[in-house]
Amino acid sequence: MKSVFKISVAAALLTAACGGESAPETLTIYCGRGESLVGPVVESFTEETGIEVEIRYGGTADLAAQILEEGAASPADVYYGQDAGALGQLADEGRLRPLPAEILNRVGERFRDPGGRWVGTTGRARVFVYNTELLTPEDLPEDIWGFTDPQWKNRIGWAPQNGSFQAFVTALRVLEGEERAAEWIAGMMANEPRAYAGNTAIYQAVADGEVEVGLSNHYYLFRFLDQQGEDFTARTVSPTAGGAGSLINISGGGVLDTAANPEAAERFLSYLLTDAVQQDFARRTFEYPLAPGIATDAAVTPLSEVRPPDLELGRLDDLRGTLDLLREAGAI
Amino acid sequence: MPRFRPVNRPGRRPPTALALAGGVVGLCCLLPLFYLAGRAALSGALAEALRGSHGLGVAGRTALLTVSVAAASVALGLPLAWLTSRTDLPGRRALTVLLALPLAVPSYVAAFTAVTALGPRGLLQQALEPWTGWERLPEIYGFPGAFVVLALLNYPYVYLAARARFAVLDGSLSEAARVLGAGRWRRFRRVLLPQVAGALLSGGLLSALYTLSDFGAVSLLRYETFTWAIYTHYRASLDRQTAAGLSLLLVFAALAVLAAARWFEASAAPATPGAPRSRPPRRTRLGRLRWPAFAVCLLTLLPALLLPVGVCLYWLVQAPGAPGGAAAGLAAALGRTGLAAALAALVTTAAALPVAFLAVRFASAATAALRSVCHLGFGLPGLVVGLSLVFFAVNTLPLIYQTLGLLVFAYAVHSLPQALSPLEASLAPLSPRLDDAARTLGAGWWRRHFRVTLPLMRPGIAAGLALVFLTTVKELPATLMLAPTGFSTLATTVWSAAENVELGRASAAALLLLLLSGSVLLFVLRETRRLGPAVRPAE
Repeated sequence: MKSVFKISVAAALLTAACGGESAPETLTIYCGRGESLVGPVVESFTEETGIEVEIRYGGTADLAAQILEEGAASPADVYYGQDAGALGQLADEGRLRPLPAEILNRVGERFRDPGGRWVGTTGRARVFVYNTELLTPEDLPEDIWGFTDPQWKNRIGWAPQNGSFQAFVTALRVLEGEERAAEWIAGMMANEPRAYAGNTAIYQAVADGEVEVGLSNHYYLFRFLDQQGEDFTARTVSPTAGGAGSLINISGGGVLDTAANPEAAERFLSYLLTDAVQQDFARRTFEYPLAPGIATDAAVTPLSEVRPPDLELGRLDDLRGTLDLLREAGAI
Repeated sequence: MPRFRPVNRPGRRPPTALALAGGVVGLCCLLPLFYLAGRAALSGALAEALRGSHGLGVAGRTALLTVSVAAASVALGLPLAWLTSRTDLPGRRALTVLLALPLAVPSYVAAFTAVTALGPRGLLQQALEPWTGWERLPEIYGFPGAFVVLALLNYPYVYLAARARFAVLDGSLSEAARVLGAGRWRRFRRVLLPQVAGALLSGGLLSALYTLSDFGAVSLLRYETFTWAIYTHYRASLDRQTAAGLSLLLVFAALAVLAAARWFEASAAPATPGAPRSRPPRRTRLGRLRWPAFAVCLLTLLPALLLPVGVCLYWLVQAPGAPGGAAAGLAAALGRTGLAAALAALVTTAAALPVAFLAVRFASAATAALRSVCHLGFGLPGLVVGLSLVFFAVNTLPLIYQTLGLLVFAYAVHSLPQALSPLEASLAPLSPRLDDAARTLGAGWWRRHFRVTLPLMRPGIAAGLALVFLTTVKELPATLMLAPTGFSTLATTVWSAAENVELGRASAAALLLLLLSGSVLLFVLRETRRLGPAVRPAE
């Protein structure tokens, strides 16, 4: 046992010694998006620029919490996540540095921080997911308010713990005011929606017919179609009347205030906004490209038909208020 | 957790080196607590966390789930341990391993597969509908689902502890009782139960602490406990203060569980330390009950193991295209998982040894406090343990940050009680007189421990290594935060693939994880058998 202990201590120390050093010319990215989506883009970035990348994958919020905990000693240069809220909070805590105008100007004003500290790279729309055996698109209401009608009792799925859903509720509060937002949540609660852990669970539940319709993000559909084929029994529609229910949230990134390598970090963000990478994202992730002149994938409802609310995503940073609202209504 | 009577070393002070080693381990285990106290104190978040009826509701739900899962673990684990180690159950060798395996199933996998298969409109309903016309099955969300899933994942804690106890149990007591005319029930209640009570208690304690810390099952099955509330505060609003306040409440809950365990311990009849084992008991013939007992084992395995494995296999087959490209990545992840978990098992067990010696051989108020401290990390969610070590490592030893060394350290802080329990259980019945005898014969400290005591603790050491290994391979949040960059494990592969709806790849990784754990279990159970037969042949 003694020798075993010695060996394991030695091994731990050895790996500590080897792993601890990181060359200054490498770029460290904390990435809250999936490896299969981002990995190929990172590889081509290294190929084109010669900049070595160390990338840590994790949950969007978990990595932001980790950066806050790391403080000034954070090894991260870039934070790349899939929710404007987490980016906004890092910015509010003073953890993101201002980006140069040529990066910010690649996307519309709505999709970047008003303070210029983070930029959206791709867009994800809120949609209604419906079961194709139980409903047709015509059965669905024109906006989220339709679901407060008693006819939808026990037929709706949502994910009140989920970041995208909470961003949508924040948008509702900003757009229509606290009272109307509380009214909508109360109306929904009266219809006893089924709460799911996340968007994948909602799609699965809708396809299974566990619920008939769900509130979710648009691109999950294409992952399911890719895995399960055209027989998959759920499809999506964008609310025809627009409003908060067709919010377009972003995946996006920022450069940390403590970045050891801010130039390389900015190069990575501008790389994500090049035409080639934007096209690649549109094709592989079915998200909305945010740089001008790049076509959305043909399978996706074009942005011109989505009717997103006119809202700067930078205004979605009061998540506490949203949590309090959901908690008071008993939704979480 | 057998009862540690002062018979071992009444009132003696432990050697300085041993006390120091125990103290260092205790301090390491306190790190998450220091972190939480600091965070929560900054904002008076404790009051905030308890604010309103919401906090009380969460506390009530957490308590209900914890107590029921622990009780169910005992109710399931004890009979299964008895059947596989003391009776002529058909197929008992295979069942012995299979019945321990649910411990290796990550709770998020178990919950996700349970929903897929048993949800109101899941695979089972789809299979039954043509025959029965049922359009919906009963709900599994909320308490019933979380309770069943966690009980089925956690009973192996009791099962393994009870089996280890059965392996060294003396048969003569029961036979004496029989000669004196005690019936079956009386022998079970008055002789057998007191002898295994410590094992049941230590297994039940681990099951309760795990339930406190679980996130995967309660979130997917929608039953809000403290841990779920903690995650909500971190994830939804990066509200670290309130999350820390809630985590402190969770620490109090863990302390309450520990206090309850001590109370049970004190009221249970004492074990019989030092009694030499004269001979193993006779194997019990089940007679007509052989096949019904076999059916009970299968009925446990069906939802606990076969269901998740079956659903994973279903997804693997359904997945489009051959997962050939992913195979290399999976093999590398398998290697890394095995390496990290093996290191964690060794380090954790080594760290638990001094604590076990202090607690058993030098029982005092101080060593009892040390034991409690060592249990706290296991009751906290991995996210909290991970963040606390992020904080300490970055601020004190940045060189070790995000290295394998720190990751192994985090695993050890989180899973120390899993090694501690079996070590204590195997040390407690050893008479200190053995040690004295060796001393009289001129053996020095090292020789006495390495030639006499530790070899006799082998089943405990093996069980500790296995428990830590099994739960480390499925750990997710601390791994994502603290592992070296690019160090993807099987658990992180399951997670990232499932996030991306690549259910085939997620299933392949989950199945590999189970295979790895299964082979480690085989090794441990063989180690237990080296002690000689647990039973004599039936009459």
